[in-house]
Amino acid sequence: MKRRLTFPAIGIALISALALYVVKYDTRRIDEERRRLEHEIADLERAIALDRAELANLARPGRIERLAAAHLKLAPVTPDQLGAVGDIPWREEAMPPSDGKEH
Amino acid sequence: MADPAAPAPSMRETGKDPAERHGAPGRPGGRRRALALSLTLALGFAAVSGQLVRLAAIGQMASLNNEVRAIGRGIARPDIVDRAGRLLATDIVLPSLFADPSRIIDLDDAVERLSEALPDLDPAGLRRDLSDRERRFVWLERGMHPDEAQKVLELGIPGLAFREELRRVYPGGDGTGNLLGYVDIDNRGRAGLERYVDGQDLVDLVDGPTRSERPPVVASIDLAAQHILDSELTAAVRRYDAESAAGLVMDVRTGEIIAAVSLPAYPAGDAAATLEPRHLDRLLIGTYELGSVFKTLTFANAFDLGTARPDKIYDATEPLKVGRFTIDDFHGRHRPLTAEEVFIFSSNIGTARMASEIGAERQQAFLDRLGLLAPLPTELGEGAPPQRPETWSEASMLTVSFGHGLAVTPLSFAAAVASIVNGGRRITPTFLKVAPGSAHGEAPPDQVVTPATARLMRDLLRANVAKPGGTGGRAAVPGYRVGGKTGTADIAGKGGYVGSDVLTSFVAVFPTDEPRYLSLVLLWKPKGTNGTGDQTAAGHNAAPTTARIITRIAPLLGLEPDYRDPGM
Repeated sequence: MKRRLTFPAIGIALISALALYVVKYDTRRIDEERRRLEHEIADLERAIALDRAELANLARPGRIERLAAAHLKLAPVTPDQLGAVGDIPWREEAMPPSDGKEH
Repeated sequence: MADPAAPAPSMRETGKDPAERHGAPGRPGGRRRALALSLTLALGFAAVSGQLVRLAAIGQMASLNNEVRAIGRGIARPDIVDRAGRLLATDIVLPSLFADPSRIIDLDDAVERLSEALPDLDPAGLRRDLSDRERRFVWLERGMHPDEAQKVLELGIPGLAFREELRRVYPGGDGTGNLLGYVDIDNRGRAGLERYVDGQDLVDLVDGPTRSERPPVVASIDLAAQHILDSELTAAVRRYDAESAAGLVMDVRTGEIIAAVSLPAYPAGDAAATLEPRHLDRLLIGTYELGSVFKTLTFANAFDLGTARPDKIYDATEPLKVGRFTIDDFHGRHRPLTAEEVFIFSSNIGTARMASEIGAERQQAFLDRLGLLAPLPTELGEGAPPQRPETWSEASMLTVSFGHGLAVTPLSFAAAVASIVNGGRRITPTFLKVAPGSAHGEAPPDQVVTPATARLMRDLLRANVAKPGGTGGRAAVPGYRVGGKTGTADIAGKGGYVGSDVLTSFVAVFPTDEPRYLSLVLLWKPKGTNGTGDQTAAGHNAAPTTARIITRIAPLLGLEPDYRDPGM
């Protein structure tokens, strides 16, 4: 009776030891993976910060102005180019019907 | 509760004699235990051997994973962005090169190849640093570009290594030095908004090069507006052959500074440049007698007290004699003028007469209420204290009314005018963006003048630009209903006012029917040129410069032009 109980117990102990071993090393592997990923994320974040700084530097208003003057046929918006939607006249064909006297 | 505890002492009792419970060795149970024990031991040894094998096999790889951790602590700072979210200042991680001189093998070779790879490095200094074998650590270059670091790495010189550090960079523009300030080599803010960030405890001590996780600090300036102001003022200095210029654009409702330029502009983050005397911030640290722009305040004071109305008559026929002073007009009309005419012809005589109705005491109280008699507190530090008359005599009262005898910072003057035209609510200039809606949410602001006075002042400022003969006519921008006042002040040198050197200024408000923005333009020592018909008065230089600035900035700020009212 006692022997019958002991061997399964040893078996279970062995299996659980093995399982523990596997889990432990899995954990360690995953932990290493986590650290690797964190490192990669930190690297990427630094790269993003650097890129954002470079982008901001390239998008300086003074630089854009210089480039636009040299390469584009565009100029800054002037006040007389701004208007309200209501100020836009109706197109001829879309004109509301009128009695003709106003034209 | 007492019952379950009762058996415990008896169990402890039996535990005292292990022999009784487990039996003596030699019994059948003992063999089994010996077997179990040896199995356990065997398993233990197997585990230890397994671990040893594992370490032997992959130990090297694991140690490769062990990177060199940066020692010491750094300071991580939040980003600073402009009101539209453009990046003004940020921390980036850059490699810093250091050397262990005791490990340098071939000094000549190292110096030669290093200075070839890094042309910025001084070869003589490099040789001195590297030849000191007593030292184990010497910085060669802090905060270098990653590409440069790669080049040095490829040289393969022993004794050189890198440490990654946080470095502050200012990618946003070249002309923000007066606003952003700078940080020291350890990333501590030493001037400008950077110092403010430290003062607000927004920086973090970090291990190694870890960027701050705090939300960005949002400045009130608009980088595009700042650039426009900078380039227009620079152009004005050239056009009018002036010595220097400064200017600002402010939101009259919130006090937010949209743009602030003091020429010559210089890049942020440059400690040496910041401390140069010529880079002194003329808007915040310089105090000036601003001249006739000050009449704006005198008129607001008189309207608010009820001592004057726009149609009240003031006699400007004869110069006014006060003690040894004679107050005269620049372009005298030599006739009685209405208050409005006094303003738009910028009559000193008329304004002085108006001031004498106000009286020295009420004048002082009013200027004090506007914050002009005390240093202006800002995020960039306290403004320069005003230089006021020693005794507020009758004569000083009269001269102060048209902007002489009291020297103030242009920023505090701009804030005073904004506080009047915005409906009379006193505002404090701020260099941080004000969240929409929060401006009026806090304690009710001080009312410095009544809304009725504010309306009268808007109309008066508008009349000075729109009506024929007004000194501000050249500041008109179609669609934006600009109102403003000119100022042409003699510059006081040693022993009083000398020569024809003037400081011209123009304070403008737009649009006058519902003021949103105020601009102030200052030009030091402009000369008469062909374009100005040899005139040096503000109406010929500061006013047209203001028009150019508003033409470019107003659309950017989202102001819709309105052409319904071309005349007034």
